[in-house]
Amino acid sequence: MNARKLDRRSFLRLTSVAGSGLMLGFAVGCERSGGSSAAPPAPALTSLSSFVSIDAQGRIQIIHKKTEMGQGVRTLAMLVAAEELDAQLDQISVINPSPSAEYSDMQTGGSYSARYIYNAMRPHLAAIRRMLQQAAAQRWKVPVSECSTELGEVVNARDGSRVGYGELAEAAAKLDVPQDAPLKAVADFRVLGRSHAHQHNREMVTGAAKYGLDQRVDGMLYACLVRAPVVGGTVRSYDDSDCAQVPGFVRSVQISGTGINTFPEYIRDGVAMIASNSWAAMQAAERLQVDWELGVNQQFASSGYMDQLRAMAEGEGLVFRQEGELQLALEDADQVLEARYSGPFMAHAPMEPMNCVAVCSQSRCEVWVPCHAQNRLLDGIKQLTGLDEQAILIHTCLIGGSFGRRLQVDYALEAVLVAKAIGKPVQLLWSRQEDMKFGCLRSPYVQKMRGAVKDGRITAFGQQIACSSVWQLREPQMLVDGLDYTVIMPAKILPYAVQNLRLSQAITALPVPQGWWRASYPTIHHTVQECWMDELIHAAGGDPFEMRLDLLADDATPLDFAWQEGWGKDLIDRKRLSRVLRELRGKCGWARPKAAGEGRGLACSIYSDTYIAQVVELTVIDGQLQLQRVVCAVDCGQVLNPDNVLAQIEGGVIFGLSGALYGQISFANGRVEQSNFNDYRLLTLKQTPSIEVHLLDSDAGVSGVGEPGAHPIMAATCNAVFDACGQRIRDLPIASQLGVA
Amino acid sequence: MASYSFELNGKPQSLDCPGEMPLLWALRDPLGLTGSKYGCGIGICGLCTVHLDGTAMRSCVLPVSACAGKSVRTIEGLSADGTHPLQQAWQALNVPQCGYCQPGQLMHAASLLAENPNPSAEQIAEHMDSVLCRCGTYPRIKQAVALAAARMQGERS
Ligand code: FES
Ligand code: FES
Repeated sequence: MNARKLDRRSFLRLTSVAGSGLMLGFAVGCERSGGSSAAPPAPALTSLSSFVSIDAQGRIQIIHKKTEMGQGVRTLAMLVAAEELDAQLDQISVINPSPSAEYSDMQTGGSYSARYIYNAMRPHLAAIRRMLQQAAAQRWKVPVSECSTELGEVVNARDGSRVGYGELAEAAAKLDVPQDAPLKAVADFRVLGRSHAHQHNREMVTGAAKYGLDQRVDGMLYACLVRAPVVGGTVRSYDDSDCAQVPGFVRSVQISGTGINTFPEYIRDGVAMIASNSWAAMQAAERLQVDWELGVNQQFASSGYMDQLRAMAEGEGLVFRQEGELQLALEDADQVLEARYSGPFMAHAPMEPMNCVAVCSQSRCEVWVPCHAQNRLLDGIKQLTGLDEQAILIHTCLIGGSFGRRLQVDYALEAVLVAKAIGKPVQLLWSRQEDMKFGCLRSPYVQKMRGAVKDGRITAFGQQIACSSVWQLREPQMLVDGLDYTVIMPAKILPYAVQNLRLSQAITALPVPQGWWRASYPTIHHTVQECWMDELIHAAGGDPFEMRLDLLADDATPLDFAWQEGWGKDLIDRKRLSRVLRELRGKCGWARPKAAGEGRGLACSIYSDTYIAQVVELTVIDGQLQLQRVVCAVDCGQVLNPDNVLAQIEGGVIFGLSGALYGQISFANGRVEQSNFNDYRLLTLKQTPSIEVHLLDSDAGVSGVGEPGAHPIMAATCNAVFDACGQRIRDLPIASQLGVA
Repeated sequence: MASYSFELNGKPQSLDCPGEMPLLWALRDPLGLTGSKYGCGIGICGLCTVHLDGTAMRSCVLPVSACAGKSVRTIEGLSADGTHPLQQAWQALNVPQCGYCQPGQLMHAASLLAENPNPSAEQIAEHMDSVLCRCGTYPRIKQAVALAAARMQGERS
């Protein structure tokens, strides 16, 4: 197939190139999105570019490649547009286009959207504002310099007369695109830098918001898919005779899947149950009898693959960062430390289960889908149907949470297959049980850690990573000399100046669909590295803040760590991390006395230019852990919508705490053992500690906050448990070792 | 298939469906009210919460037959125009992230305030503990229930 092999990271790199090359002057070729707040395009819409249209009433429509899933990117696009166009918020709406040659690289992830919106959209918007000013200048026959903008109007400096953008749009669209339109100065901002609530809140609190599962299309049927319980399993035969008794049952249809290594997605073999409503489809699915050929993975079990990872952690591995001589430092040390860390598969479990509405004929395919990897989906649909891009329309719905799950598009491709098989519009719904059993999981891991202390200083740090690689499973051509950069980079950027370092990787491709889990590998490596730092600091007799700051003291220049060729590099600025740690120490009351059973733990991390440190306070009394308080300090550069940054960090903390305490998907007989929120537990409201977030004033550029809140928190929690009761948590989840109140 | 009659958001409603069909799916599919959300289907998450004769119930495990002759209120009927004090407080404190759990959170919170107009922070936490949110909006939910209660008190006095 000729699909572009776009993964999350490569997309990020490509977008930054595309961002500077946004072109003006295209006709708008997009259909309206299925999202509920998308107003139908007004008839007299003037297209000023492929990304902005203005109608005669002055309503401004932003055609947005970023997808809203709770992280606030729709509102942010409106804020940036209101700022740079000098327009009013309530004249702006946002829609998502269907991916196409014109709207390419539609993928939302990597905590990258805020940076994209701010850096790529603004020059574009500034040019449009300039064109509106020029159009007014022509109309009034005055110099452009005498035409200022204010709240959706151009103002004539000579006589104070005003004309709305709507009246100017048509004339403006005929002008040449200015290449040098000045950006608004930050000092003149009236919208950005202040807190704004989500523009979609009202729909969300009234039940009017339409998520994927709420989409209804004329003549639509409802479907459930009974899938092979084991990866690689196939249908030998099936019997649906009991299903006929279910009122509303229409028919069943067999669906042939793909292989686990197939790009872009693994689709399980199964039987789709079609009905006139969701419940009937689920009832019919329960009555269906299938004789499965379970295939080669029917023995796949946690004990087996965790042993495999344990063995891999003991090997030499492929070294990806080496400084000094680890072995010599170990031999020369006062104390040598060694430990193994491990963690299980984890599921995303967004509250809205996977679903998609599809209609597919010989000549066209249309889907309504809560998805934020629209180009990946487009490629997949092309591959499945043989249709070309013009015949495929993807409507992006509001998304009920993703956390990376919907970067995989398996559920949408399933819906297309079902729609194609029955020749009618159909909504495919995953039950919660199916969502839990057939997820795209975060990799499990085992890591062998080594370290040395001499004269009260940490002199060696060794980390051998063993985990499953998303790329090796399905895009092995992305590996470079056996290294998976998505696996190694979050570990490679270890910021501490330890003289003798050896970081190495051992990867495998476990036969399980895998995906990005609020960034995935950072949630593994930052957890292990920060727990291990805590162990080393404890062995050295140091203070967790002091000793980290000491190891960050050599901060003359930012360190840079290269990705594979063509992918740029990650910059690590020790100064910024030190500042964040100092801020946190000042705010968290680190020196306050502790009662028996009280513990405090610190951890920090860097992700995609965002620097974050967290302290967890908890108690462990009679083997029962109770969370008390989390304090965070964050440097995410220039802050555009402060309250949304706070919300994202709060949410990340709670997500990470659920993972640390309970997160575990295990396998037996090739099958996921968990089935619902009773055995894949989430933190509840009462368990949630108080959360304080302190944002640092920063000169740095905008960086993202969707993922980083979840990164240090697992380590900070484990470190606090040690502080409280002396027990090291090296194997997650915590609830496997301690009671949790 | 039997016919069931009940009051839905203040208006009479009748529906032909199997009596054991959970109210959630009756609302969402034949009746077209998609505000109540499906999260777990087994009564754990609370996203499908509606009021049956004023009491918060999980509609994914509530058969339509049990609603006959009773009054059902869903998020679409919590207020005529989105101005229930809870809906206002939710917006004022910018509670929703993805928003998917919020109809259930609001309906569950509304049943608390109907019974106890002046709940303590502990009572709020106790009551709201049983509705899940994957995005992590719990801290704001606590504050928003307290804010709505305080405003309702203010209006009364
Ligand atoms: S969907 Fe009813 S409680 Fe979860
Ligand atoms: S706001 Fe997303 S699940 Fe609660």
